[in-house]
Amino acid sequence: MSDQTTVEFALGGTMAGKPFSAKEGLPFSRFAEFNNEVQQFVIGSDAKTVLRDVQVQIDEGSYLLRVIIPAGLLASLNADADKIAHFGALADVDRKRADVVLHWQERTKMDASLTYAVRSPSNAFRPFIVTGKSNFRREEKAQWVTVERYLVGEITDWGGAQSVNVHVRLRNSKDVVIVTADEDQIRKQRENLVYHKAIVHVKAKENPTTGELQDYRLIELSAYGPKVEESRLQQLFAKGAKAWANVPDAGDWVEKLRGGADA
Amino acid sequence: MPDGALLDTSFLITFADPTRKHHAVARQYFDYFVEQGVPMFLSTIVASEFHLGQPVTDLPLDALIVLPFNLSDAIRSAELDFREHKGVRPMCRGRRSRMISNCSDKPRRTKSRTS
Repeated sequence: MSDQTTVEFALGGTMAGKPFSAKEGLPFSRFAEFNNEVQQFVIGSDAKTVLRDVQVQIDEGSYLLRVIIPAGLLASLNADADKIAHFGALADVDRKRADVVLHWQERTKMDASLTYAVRSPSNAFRPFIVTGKSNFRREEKAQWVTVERYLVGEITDWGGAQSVNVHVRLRNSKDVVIVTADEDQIRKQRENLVYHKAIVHVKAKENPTTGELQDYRLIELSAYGPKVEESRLQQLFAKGAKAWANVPDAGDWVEKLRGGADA
Repeated sequence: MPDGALLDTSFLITFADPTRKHHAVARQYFDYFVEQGVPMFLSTIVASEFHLGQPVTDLPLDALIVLPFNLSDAIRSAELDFREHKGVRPMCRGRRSRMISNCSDKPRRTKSRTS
């Protein structure tokens, strides 16, 4: 095995007072979960990678797995392991790998004899060890940006004495979104839209990383049931025939406008 | 029932211009969406492109939902990495794409590249 591409994962602990050992034994449940977690850590979020051809050695030194890391994963694994070792912060680490470290940490809090070590024989990254005293954390500084959205769904409730809001059950979903409104926005509605389809134009705060939305605020609310008069369409067609007469192929025109296939 | 249809520029051109080969198909799509209450979304980018050739206000805007382009949209569109799809146009009725946008008036010539 090449040291450059090898990463060692060691599980330490005791069973009935005896230390875990690759030869002498360890609890089957620990063995199974550790093997699975090492696999998760190696792959990370790269779902395309198949570990079919990866070699692993099992050795003494607690329960030690020595894994040759596929070239496509080596750089990211080394970088993530180094961040974990150096900063203890998991926010910038691949989410799947961070999950594994947090699982290990959670387990060491419940069983103080457990330790999990990750190291590189070639010192490609600094080693780290997870024990009951570890404090690895995923401090994600969530950024919330203001966005506008159109919600399409059914109004299930609106109004309120203490807090004025609109409840929208989203189309094709059971999710109900509560949108903060003010009294005037509700009062000016000419029709009672409760239990009717509506388009709800809102402002909200969005986490661009996760797509999570919160703090919905109503901009405008209207019934949704598109009705288009034929005369209106005929006007569009009459103008459209002239407007696009010099564009022989709409697809090509759009493609060139966007930079073309070779841009 | 689909969550909605995002209308692309070439679809709108084909819909707006009755002399187009696929105008009738575009009209059928539009009528179907109206009848079924399927929301039709119009992105501000598409609106801008369409407006180059015809005032976007000619469109039946009260039947369309104008989509704002937000930061998350910018991130996701970059992540789509359209470079992978260069030379492969979504087909009008094919299974490779659910877009009904680039319904070209003539058959697509697929480019092959050699290194």
